[in-house]
Amino acid sequence: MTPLLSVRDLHTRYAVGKQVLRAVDGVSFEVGRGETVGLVGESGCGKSTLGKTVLRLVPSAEGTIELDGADITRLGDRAMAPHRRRMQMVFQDPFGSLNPRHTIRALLDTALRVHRVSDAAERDRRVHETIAKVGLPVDSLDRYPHEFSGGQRQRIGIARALILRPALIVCDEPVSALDVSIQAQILNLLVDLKRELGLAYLFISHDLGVVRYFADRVLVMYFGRIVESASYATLWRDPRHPYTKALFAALPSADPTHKRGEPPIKGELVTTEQVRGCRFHSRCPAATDRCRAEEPVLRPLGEGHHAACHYA
Amino acid sequence: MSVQAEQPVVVPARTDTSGRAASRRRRRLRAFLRNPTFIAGAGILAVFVLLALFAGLLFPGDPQDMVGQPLLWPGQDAEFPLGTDSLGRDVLAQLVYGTRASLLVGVASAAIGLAIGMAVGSLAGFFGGWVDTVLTRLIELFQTTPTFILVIVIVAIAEPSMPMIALAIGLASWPTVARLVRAQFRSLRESDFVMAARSLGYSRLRIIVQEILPNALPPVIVAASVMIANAILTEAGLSFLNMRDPNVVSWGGMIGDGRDQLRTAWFLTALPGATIALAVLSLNLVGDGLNEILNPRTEP
Amino acid sequence: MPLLSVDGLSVAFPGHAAVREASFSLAAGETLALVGESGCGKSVTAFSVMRLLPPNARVVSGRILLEGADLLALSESEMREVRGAQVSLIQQEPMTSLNPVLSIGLQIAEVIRRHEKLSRKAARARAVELLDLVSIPDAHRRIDDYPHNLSGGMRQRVMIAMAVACRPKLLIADEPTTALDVTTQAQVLDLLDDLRHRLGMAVLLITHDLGVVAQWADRIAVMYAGRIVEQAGIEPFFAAPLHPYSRGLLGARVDVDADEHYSTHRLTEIPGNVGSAAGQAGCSFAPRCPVAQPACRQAVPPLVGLGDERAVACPVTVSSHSSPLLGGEAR
Repeated sequence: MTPLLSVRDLHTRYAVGKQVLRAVDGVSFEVGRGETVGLVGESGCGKSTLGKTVLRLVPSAEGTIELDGADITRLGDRAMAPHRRRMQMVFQDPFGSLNPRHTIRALLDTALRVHRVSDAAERDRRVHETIAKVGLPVDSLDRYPHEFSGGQRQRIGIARALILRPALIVCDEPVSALDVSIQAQILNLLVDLKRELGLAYLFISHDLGVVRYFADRVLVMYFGRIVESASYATLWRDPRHPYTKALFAALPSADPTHKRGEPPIKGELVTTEQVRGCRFHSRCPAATDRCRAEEPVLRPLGEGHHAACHYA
Repeated sequence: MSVQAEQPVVVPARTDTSGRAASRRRRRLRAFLRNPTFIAGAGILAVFVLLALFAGLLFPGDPQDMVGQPLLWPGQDAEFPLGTDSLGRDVLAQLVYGTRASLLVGVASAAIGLAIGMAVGSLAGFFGGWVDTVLTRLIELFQTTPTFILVIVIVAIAEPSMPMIALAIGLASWPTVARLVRAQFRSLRESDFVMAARSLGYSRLRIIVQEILPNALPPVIVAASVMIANAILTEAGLSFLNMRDPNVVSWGGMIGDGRDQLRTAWFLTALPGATIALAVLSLNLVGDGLNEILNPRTEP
Repeated sequence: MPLLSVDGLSVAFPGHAAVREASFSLAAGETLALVGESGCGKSVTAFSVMRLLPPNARVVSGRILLEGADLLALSESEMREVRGAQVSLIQQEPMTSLNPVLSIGLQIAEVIRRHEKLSRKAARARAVELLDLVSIPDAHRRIDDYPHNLSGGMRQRVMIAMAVACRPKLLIADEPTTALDVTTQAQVLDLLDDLRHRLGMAVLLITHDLGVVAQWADRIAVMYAGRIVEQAGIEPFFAAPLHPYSRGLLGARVDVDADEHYSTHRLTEIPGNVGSAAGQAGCSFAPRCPVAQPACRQAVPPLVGLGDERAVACPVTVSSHSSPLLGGEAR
C-alpha cells in the first residue's frame, strides 16, 4: 500500500539578499495513514519550511511530494485544489492565524463553499459538527477571533483544519504559544481527533519532550537535513546521533533530585555559514577530522532507525 | 516582554450571544463618539454635506444669476448677508452651491484614486516579483510628476468639465494609495491567516478581496479623507487658474473672480478662501480621528 | 533580615487587578522562582520591584523592602540609583532589549559609567572582563560587535553582562530563556546559576516552565490570577505539590523522565481557562478545581503557613494536610 505522504529528496531555497539559504536540503520521509510523525529541531533548522513545502505553500526547488501516490509537486492551483482538502495545517500563533475580520462561522463556511459544498443546510450541519468536535459551544460561531482566549483560538484553528475532512494535518508548533495547562487540553484534543477520525499528523515542534510523547515516529532535523529518524520508543531508549542526545540532555527534568550534567553541546545553530563535512561538527563533542571533511548520510542502524553520523 | 502582555485574556462567558454583536457595535460607536478630533471634524463636515444637499431648497434659482446690486458688502443688504460680487451675484448662494461642486469633485476624484490605487497596490503587493517591479515603476513614474502640473496637463488637453476635473485629480492622486496598499499587502500576504486561506485552496481573488483587503483598509480610509481634502484644494487651484467648468459655481472660481477686486472688496476672496480652509481642516480632523480610532492597538 | 521582602503587594490596571496581596521574601544568594501562566501577574510583580510599571498601572497597596528600605517610597531619581546597581533586570527578548545601533561594548560601558566614576578606557576594560565572565569567546574582539552580529544566546549573555556589571544584590530574570532553543537555554541558565554563586546575587526567576524551576531554583512561589497560591522549597514542592493548581500544572506537563506516550498515558488537563472565574467571589481557581468545595466560592482562601517555609492558599488542602493522611513528612 502506498503511504499517505511520501517526500523524496526535497529541497527548498530562499534568497536572502544575494545569498541562497538552503532551508530544506534533501529531505526524504513518509507518513503512513493514521500515523503521527514528529519533526523536531531548533529554530532555523528548516522544520517549519519543510511543513509548508509539503503543503505546497512554499515552492520547492527539487524533489517530489506524493500524496496518496499522486505527484503533487508541480500541480497548478486548479489541479491542486482537490488535494488541498486532503491535507491541512494548524498554525503556531493562535492570534495571527485567524483573520480578525471574519466570524468563526464565516471562517468555516467559506472553506466549504470554496470546495463546492453547495447545499447551505449541509454546510451548516458540518460547521456545527466541526465546532462541537473541537469542544467549543455552538454560540462561538457568531463571534470574532479576538473574543477568544489563546487555547480557544487554537481550537478554532483546528476546526478550520478539520472542516474539509483531511487525512493529514501538518501541525506547526501547535502548542508552543500556549500555557502548560492549555497545552495539555490541545494535545489531548489532537489525540482524540486522531483516534476518532483516523488522522495522520506531521507534528512539528522544537520540544523533544512533547514530540516524543505525541509522535509514533520522530524525525530529528538539523540545518536543513534529517539527522536521525526512529520510532518514539527507540529514539527514547537509544538515541544515536550526538545532536539527538544533546536535545534529550538539555530537556530540564521536573525532578530536582535528578541532577543535570554539563550542557553536552555548546554554541548555537548558525544558518548562514556554508559547512564542509557534517553540519553538526562545529558543535559536536565527538567530532573528528573525518566529520570535518566528509558529510555523513542517513544510514540504517536497525529496524526503522536511521542516523546521519559516521560514528552512530 | 512588556508588562502589557500580562493583561488578562478576554474570555467570553459562555452565555450571552445575541447581545454580543450589538455590544461590539456599541463599543465601536462609543470609540467614535469619545474621540474629540473626529467629532469636531465630522461635525463641520456634516454641515457642509447638509448645505450641499439642500442648496436648492435654501437658494432656489441659479446662483450665477445677477440678483442684486454689484459689490454689496456683507451686512449691507439683509437680502444678501454675505454681499454680492462684481456681477451682482449672491455670495452666500455661491458659497453654498460651491460646497456641492467641491465635495463632488473631492469624493469622485478620491473614489477614482482609491479604485486605481487599491487595484495597483494590491496586485503589486500580493504577487510581488515582476508584477511588483513593473507596477512599482509605474507608481514611481506618476509620483515623481508634480500632481498639480499633471492635473493641469490633463485638463488642458481635455475640456475643463466637472467629470474631467475629477478624473484628472483622481488620476494624479492614486500613487499614494497604491504605495500604502502595496505595503499592507506585502506584510499581510505573509501572515498565517493568509497561509491558512491558501492551504484551504482559496482562489487568489478571494484571498485578495476577502482575506487581505479588509485588513488593509484602515490606513486607506484615513488616507481617503486627506485625499478628498487635497482634491478640494487642487480643484480650487484649477478654478483659480480659470481651468474650470463655466457652468458650475466653485469656491476656487469665486476666488479667481474676486481677484480683481482684492483691494476694494477683499471679502470676495477671503470668504471662499476661509470656506476652503474650513472644509480641508474638517477633513483632516476626520482623518486624524479615524487614525486614532482604527489603530489596531487601540481598537476596541 | 531577608534581602528582598515583598509585603502585601497589590497592583491594578484600569478595570483589572493584576497582582493581589502578594507577599514573599528572598534571602541573599537565593534563587526564587515565580511561576505561573500568562496573565497571572508574575511579570507585573517583577516590574513592580524595578518600579518599571507601565503608566496605566498603579500600586494599590503593599511594601517592597530591599534590605529594609521601601523601594515604593523612593523618589524617581533615588530609584534610578537602585536600578542597575542594586537590582537589575534581564528580559525575555534579547533581540529587542539591546540598542541595535550601538556596539555591545559601548552599551555595557554605559551601564558601568552610569553608576561608577570610571574613565572610558577603564569602563571598556571592565566590559571586556564582563564579556569574559559571561563566557563570550574572544571577548576583546567581540566587544565592538553590534547586536545583529550575535546569535540569540549570545545576545542574552550580553544582557546578563549588562545586568551584573555593577554587581547587583538582586537580579530579576523575566523568562530569560523562553525565546531561546533548549540547548541554548541550558547554557544560559547554567551561566546565571554560576554567576549567582560567584557574585553572591539573589535571583528572582520568572518562568512558566516547571522543568527550569526544578533544575535552577531553590524555592518556588506559584501564582494564579494575581495571587500567590503556594510557596515551598524545590524538593518538597516537586515531591508533593499541595495546591490543586500546582498539582494540575505538574500533571499537565509532559514528564520527560517518565516513559509517557499518548497511546498509553493521557495528560491531566486543567479544564477551562484563567478567565473562568472572572467576576466571581472566592478562590479564583475554584471553577477549574477538581476538589473545590462550596466554601471555596465564598471567601478568598488565605495563604496558610505549614512550617518548613511552606505555605498554601487552599483550605481543602490545608485541612487534609493536617490530618494524618497527608501530614507527617512536610511538617
